[in-house]
Amino acid sequence: MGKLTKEEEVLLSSYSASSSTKGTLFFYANALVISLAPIYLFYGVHQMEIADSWVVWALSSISTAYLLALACKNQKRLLKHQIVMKRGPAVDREINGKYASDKKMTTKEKEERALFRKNEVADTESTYLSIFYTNTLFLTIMLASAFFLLANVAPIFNLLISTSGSAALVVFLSTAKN
Amino acid sequence: MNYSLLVFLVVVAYGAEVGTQTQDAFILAHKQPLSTYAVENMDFVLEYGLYNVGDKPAHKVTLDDRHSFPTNSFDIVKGLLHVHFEQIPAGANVTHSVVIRPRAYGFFNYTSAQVTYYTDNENLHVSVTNTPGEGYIYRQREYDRRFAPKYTFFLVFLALITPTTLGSFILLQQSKSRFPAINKKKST
Repeated sequence: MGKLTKEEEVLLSSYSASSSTKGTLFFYANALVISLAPIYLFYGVHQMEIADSWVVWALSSISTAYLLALACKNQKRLLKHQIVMKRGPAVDREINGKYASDKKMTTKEKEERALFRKNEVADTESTYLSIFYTNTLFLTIMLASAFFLLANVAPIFNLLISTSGSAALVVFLSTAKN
Repeated sequence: MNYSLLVFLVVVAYGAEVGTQTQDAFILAHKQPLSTYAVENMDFVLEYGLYNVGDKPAHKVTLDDRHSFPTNSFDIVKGLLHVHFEQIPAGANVTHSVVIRPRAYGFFNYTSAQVTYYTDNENLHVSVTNTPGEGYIYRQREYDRRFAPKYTFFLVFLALITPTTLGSFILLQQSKSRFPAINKKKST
């Protein structure tokens, strides 16, 4: 019984809007890498020097990383429910097959396990999908603005607008559907 | 009165005509870099032009620019900094080019080259070319940074963004492929 309560707690926490610690860490690590990569491009292609522009770089990378992580979290919340609905039947089948021989387990217990498993699957899948979606969207907007729309703007403004600006746009898009 | 004015005009016009006429050989010389950028350890092309605008040929013309490019700062890759032309006929021109290679970077003052020639066998004329003036010799690294192709930066950028972006996509596909078969059965 105690074990079940523990599972219930985990179940409850997995249903809540906040994502798991592992997922959040993944979000922040990804956001950091994705926010630093454009700076390398600006260093190489737009010829910004480290000594002159490290302050702007720091500003841009911190704000972009924060915004991207936020966008990922929002996106995940949107996607998780959809994925639970999509994967639900398949996960049910998997759990039923797994515990078919187990006579001791009640139907209720099986259902709870299936629910738990559904959440687990949806959590990881929505994490991956939100990262993939946010990254591609951000990078596309960023590259288009940095090298086409704002190609002739002074590098500092180009950097700030194309990185932080696109990240803000991605955040906006991730909340707009709510 | 009118006649005297007319005579005066004719005299002045003749005088002016005589003044502008060059009876002797007269050489105009120019010196200009043909390369847009001077970069350390990269070829730099200079061109000298000699124009004889006089009416007689110039003899024993020498062009000397050795003092402009001291060998401790420049390598001479091709051509001579001291050339001799036996004769430049009236109205003819000569161009001469030299390829040098700067050894160090920084500002460098390009001075004029010296041209000497004889109008007759005795009359030695010494003249100088224009001075291209102060120019900057780029550091090799600086030059590469500005003008080298940038695709390596894009490749590194791709390498930076690929692990998380493509990685998450592949993991998603794996997770998807674990379920759809059963999913299909259920939905149909």
